[in-house]
Amino acid sequence: MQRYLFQVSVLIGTFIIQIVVVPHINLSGAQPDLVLVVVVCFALTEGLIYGAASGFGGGFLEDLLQAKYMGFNMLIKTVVGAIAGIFKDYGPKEGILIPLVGVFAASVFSQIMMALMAFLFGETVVFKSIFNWLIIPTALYNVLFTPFIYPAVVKIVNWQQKWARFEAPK
Amino acid sequence: MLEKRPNWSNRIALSLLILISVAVVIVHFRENENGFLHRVQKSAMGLLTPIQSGTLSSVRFTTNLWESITQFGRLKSDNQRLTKEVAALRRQSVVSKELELENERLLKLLGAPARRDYQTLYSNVIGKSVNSWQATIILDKGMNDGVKKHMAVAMADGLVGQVISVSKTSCLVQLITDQKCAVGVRLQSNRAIAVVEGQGGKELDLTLLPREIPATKGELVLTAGIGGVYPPDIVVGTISYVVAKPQGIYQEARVSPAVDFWTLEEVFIITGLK
Repeated sequence: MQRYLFQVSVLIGTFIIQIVVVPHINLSGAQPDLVLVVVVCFALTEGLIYGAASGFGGGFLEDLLQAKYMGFNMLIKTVVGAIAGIFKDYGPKEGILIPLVGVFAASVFSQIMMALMAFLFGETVVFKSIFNWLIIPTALYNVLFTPFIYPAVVKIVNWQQKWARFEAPK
Repeated sequence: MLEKRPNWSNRIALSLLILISVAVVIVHFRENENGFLHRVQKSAMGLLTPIQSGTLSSVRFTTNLWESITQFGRLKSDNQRLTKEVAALRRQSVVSKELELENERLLKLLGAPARRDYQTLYSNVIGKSVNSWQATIILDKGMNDGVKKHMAVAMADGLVGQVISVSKTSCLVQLITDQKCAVGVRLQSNRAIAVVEGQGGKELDLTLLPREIPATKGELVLTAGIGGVYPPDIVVGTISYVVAKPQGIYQEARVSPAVDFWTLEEVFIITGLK
């Protein structure tokens, strides 16, 4: 329970940064999705179910400000969190290569899913153009933030685990 | 190595999360504006308004302070130049007023209706889209200030978008660059009607413009006033690209918006006619 509360606090903090700071660093329409980066980092350090839960929570927060289709972010980020969680312990925990690749793949996957879902709900989606100016720039932008976010998430998780051991009854 | 297969409780939890997400998508899509999930969204928007406007105020204060310090030297010469400009504009304003009165008199003589002015509500931009998939902004005016869904939003440079969701203290505005936005427009020179559609990027697609209509680069595009959301004659932008295809009945054209959406700070909501 305590673990979840911890995750929720980190996600809320990231969400506030996402809505307050990120819109000001928009590059021709593409902007980083810090919530997605945190979800992938959580999934890679904590595993499948924590990844999925982080994705669910982070997606829910983003969907609160999504005007037309609530639930898109929740669904996509839950799936992304779960898939990323499968790759927990794949490579060294402190290594940055897996998170970089993971965040890039997760970004591309989630953007394509978003386009497909919008298409499914009757939106006109020009895949060729969104691939050039939205999917790849957003994925690269997310990758750019990963070397800063992943070590922070690892530190937070380690600290939380130590604290939990200290608090546990003997 | 891959994580070992999840146990049953984890499988059930994961399935539950996915099921809830799917249910939310479907219920939100099917329910009306007053449905439970829509009300949750509006309440959340209301809750986030103070955080966003507070942060925005601090950012603006810091930016202004920094600019005042770094640009102090330039301010003096700017002041002199602006004083001269104000004097010139005052003279121009008198001439404009005379022309306006003359126009009104002539329109009255012709029996034509005079140009209508709109009631507007000044508003600050306190938030922008949380992801790349929607081009939206959040304004610090809501139901308490008389804002309603589908009100047009503009600024001095031109059209910004329309209100698509309103909470008590804030509202969500869909920009004309949003992929889901379409605006009925008119070319200024020949009054030909077409449609401008957002594509998520900086430019807009100009569609349904027949091949035989002459359209040139740099031509001004205005709102047509059809459809009931956007009032007529608000500047949308200028044609930046036009190609008459050898086949087909429409031309391929793009419009460069008059408004710089990346630096929006203040806008006005058109609340009605004067």
